[in-house]
Amino acid sequence: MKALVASLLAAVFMGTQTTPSSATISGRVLEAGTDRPVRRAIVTATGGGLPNGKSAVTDDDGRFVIARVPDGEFIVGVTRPGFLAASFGATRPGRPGTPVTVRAGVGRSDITIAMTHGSALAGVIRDASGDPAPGMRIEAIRIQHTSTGDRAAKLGEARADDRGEFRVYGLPAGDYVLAATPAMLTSGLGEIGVPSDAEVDAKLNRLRTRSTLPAPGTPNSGTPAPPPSRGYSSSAVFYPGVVSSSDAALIALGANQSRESLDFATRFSRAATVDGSLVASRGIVLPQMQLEIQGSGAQLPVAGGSRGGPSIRMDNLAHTFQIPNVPPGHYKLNARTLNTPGNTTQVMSSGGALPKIDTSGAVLWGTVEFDVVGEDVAGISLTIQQAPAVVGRLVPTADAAKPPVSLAGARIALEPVANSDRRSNGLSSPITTVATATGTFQMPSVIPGAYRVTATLPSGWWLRAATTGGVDVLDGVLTVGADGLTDLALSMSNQHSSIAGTLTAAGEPATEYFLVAFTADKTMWRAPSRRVRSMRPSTTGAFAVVDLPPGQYYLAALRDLDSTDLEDPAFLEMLIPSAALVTVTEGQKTVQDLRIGG
Amino acid sequence: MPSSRLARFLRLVVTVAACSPLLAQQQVPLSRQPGTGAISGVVIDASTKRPIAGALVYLGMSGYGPVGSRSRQVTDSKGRFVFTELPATDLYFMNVSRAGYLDSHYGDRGPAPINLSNPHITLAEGQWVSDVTISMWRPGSIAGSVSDERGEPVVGAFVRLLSRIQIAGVPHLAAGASTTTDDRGRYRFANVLPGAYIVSVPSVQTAVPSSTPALTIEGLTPDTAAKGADQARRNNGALDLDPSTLLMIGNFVTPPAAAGVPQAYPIAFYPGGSLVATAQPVVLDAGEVRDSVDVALRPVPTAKVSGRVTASSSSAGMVLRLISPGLEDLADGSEAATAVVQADGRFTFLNVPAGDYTLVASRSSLEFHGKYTNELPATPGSVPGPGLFLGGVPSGPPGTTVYSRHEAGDVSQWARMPITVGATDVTDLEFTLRRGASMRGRIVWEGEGELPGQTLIMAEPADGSAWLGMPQSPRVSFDGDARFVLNGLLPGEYVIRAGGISPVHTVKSITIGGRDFSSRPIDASSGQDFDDVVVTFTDRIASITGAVGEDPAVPSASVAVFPVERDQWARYGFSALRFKLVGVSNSGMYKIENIPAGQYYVVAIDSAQATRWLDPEFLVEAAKVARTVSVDWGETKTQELKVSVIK
Repeated sequence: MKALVASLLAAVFMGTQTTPSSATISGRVLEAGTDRPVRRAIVTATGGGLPNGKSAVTDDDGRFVIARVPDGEFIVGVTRPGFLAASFGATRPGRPGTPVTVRAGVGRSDITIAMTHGSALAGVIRDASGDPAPGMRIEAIRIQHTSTGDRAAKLGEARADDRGEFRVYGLPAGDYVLAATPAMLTSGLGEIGVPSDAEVDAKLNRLRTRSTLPAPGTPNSGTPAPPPSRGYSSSAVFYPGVVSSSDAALIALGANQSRESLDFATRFSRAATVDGSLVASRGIVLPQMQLEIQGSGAQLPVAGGSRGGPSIRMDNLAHTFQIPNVPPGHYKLNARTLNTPGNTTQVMSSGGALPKIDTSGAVLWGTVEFDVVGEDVAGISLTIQQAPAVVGRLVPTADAAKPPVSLAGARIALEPVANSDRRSNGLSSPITTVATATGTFQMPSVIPGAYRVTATLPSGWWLRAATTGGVDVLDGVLTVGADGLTDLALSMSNQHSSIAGTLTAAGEPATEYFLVAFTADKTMWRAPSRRVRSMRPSTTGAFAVVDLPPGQYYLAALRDLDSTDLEDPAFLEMLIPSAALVTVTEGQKTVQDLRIGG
Repeated sequence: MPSSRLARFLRLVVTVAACSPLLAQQQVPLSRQPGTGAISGVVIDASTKRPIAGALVYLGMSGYGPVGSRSRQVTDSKGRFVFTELPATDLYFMNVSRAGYLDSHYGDRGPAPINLSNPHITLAEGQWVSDVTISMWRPGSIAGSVSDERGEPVVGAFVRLLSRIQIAGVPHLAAGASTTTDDRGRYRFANVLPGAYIVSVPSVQTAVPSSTPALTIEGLTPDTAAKGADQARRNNGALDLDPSTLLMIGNFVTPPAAAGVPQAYPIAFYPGGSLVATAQPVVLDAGEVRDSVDVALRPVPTAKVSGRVTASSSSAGMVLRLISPGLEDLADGSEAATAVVQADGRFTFLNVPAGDYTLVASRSSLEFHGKYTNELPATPGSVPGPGLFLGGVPSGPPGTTVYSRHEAGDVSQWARMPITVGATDVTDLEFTLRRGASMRGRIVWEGEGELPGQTLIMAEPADGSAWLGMPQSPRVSFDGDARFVLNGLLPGEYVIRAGGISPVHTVKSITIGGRDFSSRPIDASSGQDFDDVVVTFTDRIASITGAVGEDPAVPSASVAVFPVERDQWARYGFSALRFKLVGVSNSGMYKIENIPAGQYYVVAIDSAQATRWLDPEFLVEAAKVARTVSVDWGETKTQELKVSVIK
């Protein structure tokens, strides 16, 4: 249904007519590492004056001929169900290819493209009693290890058939997590009762023995009621049969490999009820607090993964809370007042009108971690205390030619980040403040946690370092503890550096390329980072990277860039052989021209 | 799509403002109020009669949804369930699901995707209904492989089940589930209900003008390498087999040209052949597993079919379809070939296998679906219009839905002609688009109570002819301008129906020039417009109620009512006003609410026979044992019944 762009009607007949040409691009498609032809593959040349691309289907010999190709540069890609998409000249599947140049009506006839057969993950999914669980949705999630933590991407899914068999195919090699979720999510309708035989017997006996009609609202009068049957929750189950994503096994899948017998079982996880109370530190009167629960482990892109989570019942008068239906796992519970800077999380109210937000009172916070292993957790104590202050100042560099007249209006921001243990303090937007004319600044209430420091400085100035306790945290994270900070020094400079040049291919501006400048210091390969940047050259091929922190940088040009590529150290590593090494010195302008294809 | 930061952690923030308990009490719906009733019973396997442990039983209240906070219960090792503290109502229904079984419902007497007559459980204050037995049936499956002319597996090929059904007493072809072959060329349909199925491997030769920008067709984007595994096999290329036209490839497998002649795999049916008439249906019993339903694809040489459309208004962008004989009831994904009309009226079909076809030009398409939704790709090049309708078809088998789609543009234009394609190109096909009829009218309220809000006036093809489409349904207000216009009635018979009105309102009459058409189709063949349609509504609804004598041989009974006039037993569109089927509740009562005044046959039948109750042959037999009841507007008649077994 989403096959078309909505505003198509006006556009249908506005395409460009390409100039006829006699050039052809031809060649063969082979299975990688073999001389076996790939039949029925679709080879498509795109780029230049071919907005729609031009395709051909390979014959039984894997041969293809794309005829009537106009002059220009083309990426030649190939797809076939069951195989990984490939491009001519690409180092591996899914990577950008090398353009094929057609000039003066002369094409290429020697294009050989290697295609890798996709890999498969197969097995049987069963239910808690060992029977096949047909209809379960099985998702293959690839986990990539990057400098900023694991990145998860769903690369395929399948439905278990009537025998519980599933097969996810066409996958690239990598480390995978398999998740099974009910095809139709049963969560959200309330809890599921799973009474034991004895509980059913007891209920039936009570119905048999009740002599008179009990009054409504007192259904348990007479015989003492047995404890209510426990609630269960049905959520995603990960191979090899665990309910917490952090316990999921990483399945190593090789290229062109079929991993069979990945059998596992789903189950109703026994849900626990967690309750506790908020405890005020000395001298604090508890106002209405907002609570948030975070599950352990990386949140994987599993169907319904963010839905059906535990919801919190709170009593704001007694300052107690209860969280029913919590599946096993490790959790973190955050509390904060509604006036907390950086708190823009949507507040849902189950009591009709939205609660009033007291913006005058002090910002209070608390946090506690706990484990759920199926049994109820009672008596959790969440200590509420006042959020500390972060105090600092802007420091123009000593050798600055001319410090700015006033630093008033410079804006300093702390952006909350998930820290190394993959947990955040629950804030979702930056805490900001402005500096005084002398450069001092103060954030009166900062909930402890990990932050990234950014600043918007007066025109002509850039932020070169952010130090606390003698350590520069500008490339890392600033950790604010319970006592806050008093010595955050933001060093600023007006000495500008740049790497500038022109990117050309065969003497012409190579405008279709991306440029990537990244630090030679591999410990700094993370994103977002001020030491890893990408840009497009102008139509004349000119480019400039300004105000990189001093150091050595690689400069590379590439045809295609995915927004997440720069977070992948393996990707940056791959660029080094074809990159130019440039030294950046503060205040110095470096010229470095780049030519594509030598 | 939540921001990545939000997606990273399971996050749920709830702030509860203190609310008065008294206030809360008043707002609690009936289904959430504690009561003193109880419902208990057992879930069993229909064939072995053994209890089923671990089945998920859902207790709901019609119109309210789940009951209490534990509306779902898993059966114990003896297949038992007990719901207690229930409020009194006659609206309880129960559904049960269990992996390895078809979903089932309270009152089911055979495997069915929905409960046809929807019987309710009546529960009084303090009552314990202790004898509920819900049967479950095992689903069947159909599996096989798809291979090409070299015997190699075809990967990612669509496979679709079709079935022959009756709509409004007239035979039709319905689309069923679709799936794709895996990397070994294998497919498997699980959860298949008993029945006869035609297994098809569709293959559409989709042609679009070369000028179509890449962005407008999903998948046809310049960078194949950047695509994910799913996208990589869809629409990812185009062959320029003609200077002005591209053949989209990737959705269906395309073989390369042989000796310069373009080839195609035509649609294929099990066990072979490309005509549905030669297909051998796979007949599946409850719980049966059929394997080795293999289909082999064979490439055939093709020809080009081109020509020009003339029309009074622009036909640019209109999709033309070539449909194989017998597949006229199917829409997207079932054509032999499609083409898009260019600005100058020219069109070109590419890669058309030799054969007889119907060429259909229409901006409205319609298709019947079985239980499952269609997963075949939409025809590339077509532009969806605002009208999209997916609704139940009570005049078809249980669970039938109709899927109606309009493309952007003038929906009144149409053409339909037979063409024969041989070994050589057809280059000079010329035809003129004709105009469908329009219908103008108004709604009239004759009731005594409050005005209904709005209604939707619908024109449904009387005999279910899919190619007639469903003209876009206008929404009309009772308290505003009560006039309506329906455009694009193609030459054929339609019935007028009103949607979106409450169960206490009904259509009293539909007249054109004073003639009544409320239980008779309107013939639009002449192409003449209809100008004085009056749809009259009333709230003086008629009902028939009564008790059904208990029959130990029939654990679940239904009551059917249908008109005594035999000429009304077919061609009544998707929703027959004068046909109703209801379940008999556990208290032995039935209630048929809201039928038009008139004379009816009323008959109590075993629910096991309910799936075929609309078959005209069944009605002939049922009429022989039925009671005759006349009911007037605003009247409720009582009729005691005994269960009859219909031959």
